[in-house]
Amino acid sequence: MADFVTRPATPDDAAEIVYLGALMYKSVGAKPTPTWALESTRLVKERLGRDLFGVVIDADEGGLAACGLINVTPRLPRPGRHAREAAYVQWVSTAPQHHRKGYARAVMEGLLEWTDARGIEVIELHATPAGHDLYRELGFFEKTDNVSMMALRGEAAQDAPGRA
Amino acid sequence: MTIRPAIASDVEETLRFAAAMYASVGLEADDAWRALARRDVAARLGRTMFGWVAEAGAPGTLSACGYVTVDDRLPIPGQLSTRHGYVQWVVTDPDARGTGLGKAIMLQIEQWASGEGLEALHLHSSPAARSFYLALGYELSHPVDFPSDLRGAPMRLRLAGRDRRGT
Repeated sequence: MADFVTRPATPDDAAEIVYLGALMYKSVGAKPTPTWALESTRLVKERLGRDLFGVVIDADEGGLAACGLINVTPRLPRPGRHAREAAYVQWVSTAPQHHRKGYARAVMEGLLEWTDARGIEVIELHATPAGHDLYRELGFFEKTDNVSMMALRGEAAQDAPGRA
Repeated sequence: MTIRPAIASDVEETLRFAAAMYASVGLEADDAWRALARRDVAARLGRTMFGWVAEAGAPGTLSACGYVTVDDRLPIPGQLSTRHGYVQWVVTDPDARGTGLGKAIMLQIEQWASGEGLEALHLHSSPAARSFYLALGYELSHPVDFPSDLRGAPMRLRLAGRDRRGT
């Protein structure tokens, strides 16, 4: 029996969510800046409840232990399907002191419960190495008939892994 | 060739093209889909979605179309914009293929997206269209988790900080 509960994120959670998002980006070598944090906090506050949905877990010590967010966007319908929205998951992140408690799984299950209820059929994400196995267990998969490689050159080169 | 922004009265021709595109990947367009698509195009055009069309000779008929939806994402450190574009329903009438209409529409979409400051354009390409998008500078994306029944490969074109290519 889990000794924690998930709840929907509210605009008041924005600063804590951005803190957890920054931890996630640092874990993959990106450099979250003060400008990024301020802009992110503003956007999370503004978009939650509109085209952004979040699930969070409160930490006993205060603040948030984990979060996950999902962007919702319209899509033109295709024959035989009812979904008219798609979703893109971002910022699934757990504070270091709360790792290995199943929080990220609970957050993801909360997000997918919400997209299911909304009738969303296509959910995409870019997985960090740490999240890969969890996403796979939750039913996400990679397209394997054309595993892609990418080179980022010119100004984009700084975005390449290991260059941050 | 004249490419112009799509307007509400282009919807029936657009649905005709979209139905043909879905048929080419084995999906049959039915009346339920038409009703839903008609309603969504009317509701979204000019708001969350923008399109361009090529007019054919006969009044009220089109030779090609292409649409782009604006997606908002959370900021990624170092990226200039949180907005991405998702391209759908790029179709050229079989009679008008090989005349550059599809390319002209894609370049219109790219120009508009650059002007709007979008970070990148994304799409799912049918196997038949992949070389078309590769020639336009699209790359196969990082592996993205998506259902195989989408019958398409995810591709993207980075826009931010990118030099405009001559046409």
